[in-house]
Amino acid sequence: MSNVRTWNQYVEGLHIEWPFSFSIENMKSFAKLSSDYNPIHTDAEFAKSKGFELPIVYGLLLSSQMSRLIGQELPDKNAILTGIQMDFMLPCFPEDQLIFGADLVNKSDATYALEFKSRISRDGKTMCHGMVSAIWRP
Amino acid sequence: MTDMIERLLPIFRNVFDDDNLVINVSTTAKDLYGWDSLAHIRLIVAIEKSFGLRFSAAEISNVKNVGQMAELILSKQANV
Repeated sequence: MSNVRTWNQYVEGLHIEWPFSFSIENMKSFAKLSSDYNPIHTDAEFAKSKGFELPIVYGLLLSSQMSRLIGQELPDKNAILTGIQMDFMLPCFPEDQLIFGADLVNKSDATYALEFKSRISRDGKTMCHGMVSAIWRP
Repeated sequence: MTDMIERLLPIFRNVFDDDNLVINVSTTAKDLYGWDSLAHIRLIVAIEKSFGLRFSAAEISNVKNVGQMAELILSKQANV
């Protein structure tokens, strides 16, 4: 893939998806990067005391897939992330086999703006969904 | 034209996150704090969605103030 395409190759309805998961080590790295050491994300016993089988994956660690969408997975390297919105429906856990999917729902020829509807799912069930905005700058 | 400005006002207030924002036909980007290139993109996309229209880059580049934006919307609606 050349990773350099034209604006006209972005078509509303474009769908992109990939599998991913986060490990305990990923969680530790995110805790260090964010300085968020809330035990619901870091302590299995504490998470169990709150009714969860394992520590919950950080919501903003999940949002990293939105960065991957704009920076890596689009058929072009010229898009720049301008906004995200996420709603978390169900908790995700380390080693969950997750799918990130995104659909291009709005393309503005006047401003070279792109909007994607995104969804993270596990076994077909929506864990979180949101919107990702980007601009295209060749 | 006044009706169109009134329809644009809540869009501007939402994009610029200012419930007290006031606009008129001669309002330009220089008059509104925060009307930079990214805010401009958000504004145009919000207007396109609100009115169910699509603009071209050439159409937008000719718009110099709110009044001209209102006129552009009205002309696009007339041609639908």
